[in-house]
Amino acid sequence: MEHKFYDLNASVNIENLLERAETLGLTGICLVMNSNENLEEYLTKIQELKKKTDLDLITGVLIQEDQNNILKKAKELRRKVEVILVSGGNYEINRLACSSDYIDILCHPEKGRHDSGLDHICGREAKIHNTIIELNFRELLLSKGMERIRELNKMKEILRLCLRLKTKFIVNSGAVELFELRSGKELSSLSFCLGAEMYDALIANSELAEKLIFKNREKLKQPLDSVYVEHGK
Amino acid sequence: MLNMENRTRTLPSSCREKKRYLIFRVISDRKIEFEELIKAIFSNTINLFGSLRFGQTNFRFLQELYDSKQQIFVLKCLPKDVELVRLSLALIHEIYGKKVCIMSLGVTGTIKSARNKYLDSI
Repeated sequence: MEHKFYDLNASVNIENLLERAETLGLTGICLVMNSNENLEEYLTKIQELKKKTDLDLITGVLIQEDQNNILKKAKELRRKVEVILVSGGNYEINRLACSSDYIDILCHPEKGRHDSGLDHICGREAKIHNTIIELNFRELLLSKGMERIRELNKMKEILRLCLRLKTKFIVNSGAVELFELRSGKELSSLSFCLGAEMYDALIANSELAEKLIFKNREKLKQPLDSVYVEHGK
Repeated sequence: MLNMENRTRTLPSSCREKKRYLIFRVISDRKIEFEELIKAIFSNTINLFGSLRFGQTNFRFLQELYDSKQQIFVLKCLPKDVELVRLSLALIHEIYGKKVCIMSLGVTGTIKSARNKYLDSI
């Protein structure tokens, strides 16, 4: 069975990104902007890019804010973009992101830490609130020697926790430059090598991402929160 | 006296170890020389696997199947190590100062199918 692979974290400011994503066989890509950039400009840019390509372009915002402003920002952006990501690393931020319904993906929870940045409480909260834990391929790509070994170890621990608590996980490229983008199979191979089953590894980067986007797009179509209009009836 | 050649007989197919052929393509702005590519692949793979694990994978670079024009090459390994090899090559992002992205095109069970599907020019 052919899988449709998605990458839900690539910077919007990369030139020729769409051509490369097509070459790599990705079905869709989330072009992420930082929360401190101009949203209107970003949305216009995405609309223009959508005309040029057959790729499924997904809008997303990476929130890199103070712990107190994250939820405020997420609520503000929820009805404007399709995916909301939070830059992890701080335990308080990781916990907040895991226990919020407004946040879709917690990015690199282990960044800048000696441990994985997640515990069983975060894992359970993430499962209840449908937050996806991200393993960032770029963190591994740019590290060398002992640093890479530590990074692999932290990622293994995150994945072990996700598999144990049945929390959703995804491997994203986190590309900031063109040559940091990777195809879906390569991204899946990371989670497989760290201990996931082949099926889970492939699903994490294809069906899971597809479901999330479908769900969020449906939500964006609804006129109000908690009011659902069934189309075609 | 028998004229014995100093080589072992070819094993019957049932005794041979199973193998897979992985086909990769190098995407880069500038052309990557063959020697540079080989060195980068081996050093990166040994770095990730460790010498012991690397020895257990039956890892081979098939030099005769290297397509220098399209920068496509074929690696051989054990079926269970396919994903590990794929990951180790995905972790290469620079070869001698040149930015690269190595993408896997596919996996085959025989050289013949690798040639037919991915290497038309060879």
